[in-house]
Amino acid sequence: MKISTQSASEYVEKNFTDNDRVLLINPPVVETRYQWVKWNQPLDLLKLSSYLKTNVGCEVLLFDFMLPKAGKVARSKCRSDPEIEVCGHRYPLWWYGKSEADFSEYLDAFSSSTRPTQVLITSLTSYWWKGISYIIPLIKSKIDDVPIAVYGPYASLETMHAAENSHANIILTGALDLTDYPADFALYGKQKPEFCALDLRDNNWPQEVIDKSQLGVADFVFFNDDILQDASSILLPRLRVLKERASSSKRRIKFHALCGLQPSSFTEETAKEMKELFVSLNFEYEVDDSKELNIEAYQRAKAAYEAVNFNLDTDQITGFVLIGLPSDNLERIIRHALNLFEVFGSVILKPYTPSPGKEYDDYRKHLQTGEIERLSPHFFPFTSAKINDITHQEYDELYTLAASLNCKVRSKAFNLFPGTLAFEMIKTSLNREVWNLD
Amino acid sequence: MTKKALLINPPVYDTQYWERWSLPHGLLKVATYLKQNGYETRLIDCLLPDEKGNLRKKLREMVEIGTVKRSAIKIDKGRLNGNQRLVYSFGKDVEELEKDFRQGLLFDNEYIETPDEVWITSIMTYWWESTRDVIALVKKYFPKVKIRVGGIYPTLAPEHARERLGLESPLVISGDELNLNNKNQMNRDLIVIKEIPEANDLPLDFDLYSTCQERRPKYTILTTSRGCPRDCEYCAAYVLSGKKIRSRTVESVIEEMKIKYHNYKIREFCFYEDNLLMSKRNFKELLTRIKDDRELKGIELHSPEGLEIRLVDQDLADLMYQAGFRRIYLPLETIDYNTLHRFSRDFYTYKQFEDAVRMFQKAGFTKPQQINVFVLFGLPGEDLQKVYDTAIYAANLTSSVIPMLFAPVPSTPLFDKLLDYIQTMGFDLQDLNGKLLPFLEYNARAIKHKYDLTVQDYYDIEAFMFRLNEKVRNATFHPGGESRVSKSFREVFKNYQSIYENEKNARYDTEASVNAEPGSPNQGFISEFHGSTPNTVQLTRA
Repeated sequence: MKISTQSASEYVEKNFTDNDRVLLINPPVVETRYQWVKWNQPLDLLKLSSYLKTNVGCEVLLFDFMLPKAGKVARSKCRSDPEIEVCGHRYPLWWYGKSEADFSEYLDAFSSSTRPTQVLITSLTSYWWKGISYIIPLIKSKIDDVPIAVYGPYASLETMHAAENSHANIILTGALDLTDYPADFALYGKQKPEFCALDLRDNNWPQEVIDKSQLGVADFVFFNDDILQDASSILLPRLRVLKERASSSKRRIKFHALCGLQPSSFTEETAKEMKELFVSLNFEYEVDDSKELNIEAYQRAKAAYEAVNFNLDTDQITGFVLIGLPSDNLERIIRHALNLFEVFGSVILKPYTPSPGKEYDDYRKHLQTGEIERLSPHFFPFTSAKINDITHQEYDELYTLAASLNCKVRSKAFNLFPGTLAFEMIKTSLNREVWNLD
Repeated sequence: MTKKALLINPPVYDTQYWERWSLPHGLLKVATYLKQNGYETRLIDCLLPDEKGNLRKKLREMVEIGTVKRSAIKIDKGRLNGNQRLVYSFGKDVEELEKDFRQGLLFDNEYIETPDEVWITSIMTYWWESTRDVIALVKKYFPKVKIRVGGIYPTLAPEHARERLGLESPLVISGDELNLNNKNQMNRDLIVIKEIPEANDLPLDFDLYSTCQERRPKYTILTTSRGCPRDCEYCAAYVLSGKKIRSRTVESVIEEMKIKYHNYKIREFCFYEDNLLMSKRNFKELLTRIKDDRELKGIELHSPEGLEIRLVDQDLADLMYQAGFRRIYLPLETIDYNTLHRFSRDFYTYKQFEDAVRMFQKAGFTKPQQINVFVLFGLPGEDLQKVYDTAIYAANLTSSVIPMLFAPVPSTPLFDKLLDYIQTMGFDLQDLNGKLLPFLEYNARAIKHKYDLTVQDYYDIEAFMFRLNEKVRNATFHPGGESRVSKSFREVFKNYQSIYENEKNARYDTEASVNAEPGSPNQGFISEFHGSTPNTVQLTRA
């Protein structure tokens, strides 16, 4: 079958009918680390399913490699590529998600009358393209002549790469307008996901939360960056609507602010509205033009949090520190991390890769864009391109330092800061260089 | 007529408890001894985990750290303040034991016949209360039975045991005086101090766990030697076992290991010794035999009490790795030579410690937590600065620091020196549990001229040591390392300014000496308890 590139909306309009049986696939992820693997959910596919069922009337199936089993997503060594060497530093590669054997068994169960007539595979990012490339040949070996399309950010942003490497027949660019189509959890059958991803731009997400909570889902996450942008007109009014609708229900609803809240947008009003529903808060890395932390914004955010008695456990409120930036400086990273430990008690070092846009284009000729898997933030692409002078080994060491400081003892966060005897004594030991006894 | 003996390993009352290596090995040897002398024996091991491997834990009381104040827990208890800790009963507690006794049950619904004798082991001196409570229970349900209490606690505090355990005019006898056929002894409650020589080298009777085999510990304890010639002021090893080194033959140890290996599927062997390397030649021979013996394939060896640093050599390190050790414990305690000297532990040097670490690394112990270093704190008269120094020094070399809180041990020279303080504070043995910081008041007053010491300062240093051990991809962070990250961390931390200025301000006079000047109020306090001024020895490397 010849490879073609088409716009996603056109392709669906022209090729999908009510006689079709569409298999949607959320592929496995091949990566060196994936701390938030349990929050992987193909929201685009789930909304697409609602769209297709409503507007096309076709049958829709889903194979979600990333669906957890007993609360855990499987992880195994990636047999095809067990490790990757990046500038002399070796990283292990893992296959996150269900195995090829599980998928093969799933495909074998189709008969000639039940086999899919269309296959659509998404991917959350471009640099995870390998997961797609491993499973498409398997599909082709089991189901002849079914058009296999790649959809989502990878297909749109790296169209040519997808055409050359994914083994798909069709590369779909752009996205359908899926606003206000809910995530179709019926695709999962009895084994429902443990949380529901939401799009803040949907007008009806409060009702979707109520509907999903009736199915037994308690945890919800917005897959949008900066959910506090225009909070007073977008997020907050709908939170109030949700609270009103949920007031008669005994079901617990818990939101997780996964994608980072802008500290300067976290006001007391925001904190008050979020307090009843949000059980974890992650604050985005906010710096000024001189690349220093906007300390006042963080202090105000924390003050707002405390003013409303928003009492989360120490590991449920964190600050991000971005690492892997072009302008990275070791001392600044460590200082910012300590600052945020003082504010929140927990810090997550968030590795960075440029998003499509100006910065990506600015550095494109330096970055190894021929092998886009190396653009994973976990491989520190700006280091690989020698744009900053921190090594991969040093980023590993920063993770170790962060893990050490993040360690909670008797449920207490690291708090050995100026003003404490511990700080003075550690400082004295470091000044004395006690590891060099003479 | 066959005598029936019920052997009991009591629950533990403490703030924390790790059941690893908690097999009542002394009691199980006594079990073998009794069986050999015609007794029918049964065992109640209150510290045996349940089918899921968990040990029960039940709240007992709340303690004010560093004081004798204890109170019952209210049902509507609020959060603890920083000066309070909760004490639990770990294992099968006395209430559950009483339910069994009331129903006439032993273990797993097996009926118990009234025993003639009850033998109870008692380990840490600060755990004595559970022994007392078990005795009270035994007396309630078997009023005619004769009780024998043995173990570390009665050996180190026989008078305390005599007065406080609730025994009826007990006879205190040494283990070597025990005579099972002596009616004058056997007709009384007994407190047996020190070892029973005939039981010393006997195998542990694992058959007593036959009714609950699946829960039986999957390891055994080996004691291949006894005795330690050292005079460490805070250690009771030479009180318990004497100074003369007595070793078992290698053959007898191997035989014991093989029986456990084949008959009980034991693959983990834990050495519990007074000083394992004191009979180094013997130990090396044993290791050589183990590593070459195909019948002992796949075993793991452990020595969680530590190795005398001075006695480590490369050959030993290599043999230990080859024979099946995967974790080493080194009792560094402190890098403050003054403290080591004060407690007569100045028989090793930092160079020897560093050499020992290198030797074990060369032998193959290269991953984090394979070489573990004990750091002692909570000692009377200590300077917490030295504890931080020691922790950072040790973590830089080994990636695993184990904080050990000091508990004064009765019958040791240090305990005798501190008796005035202990009595003035009104402490009983349970209050001397290191986790309850018995020397908080002592140290707060002694160091007042330098800094203000609080409970939180101890929690902070303990937490600091735990954080040093945190690993990612098998690596820990080295604050004193040579990498740019370590150097950057030091630079940033040393110059760090809080973003919340002027809210707290710890007083710390880094120049003040730990030992108060003669004539100062603190000097009087120290000499009042020490009886003399402490030594002042410069930090030096031998």
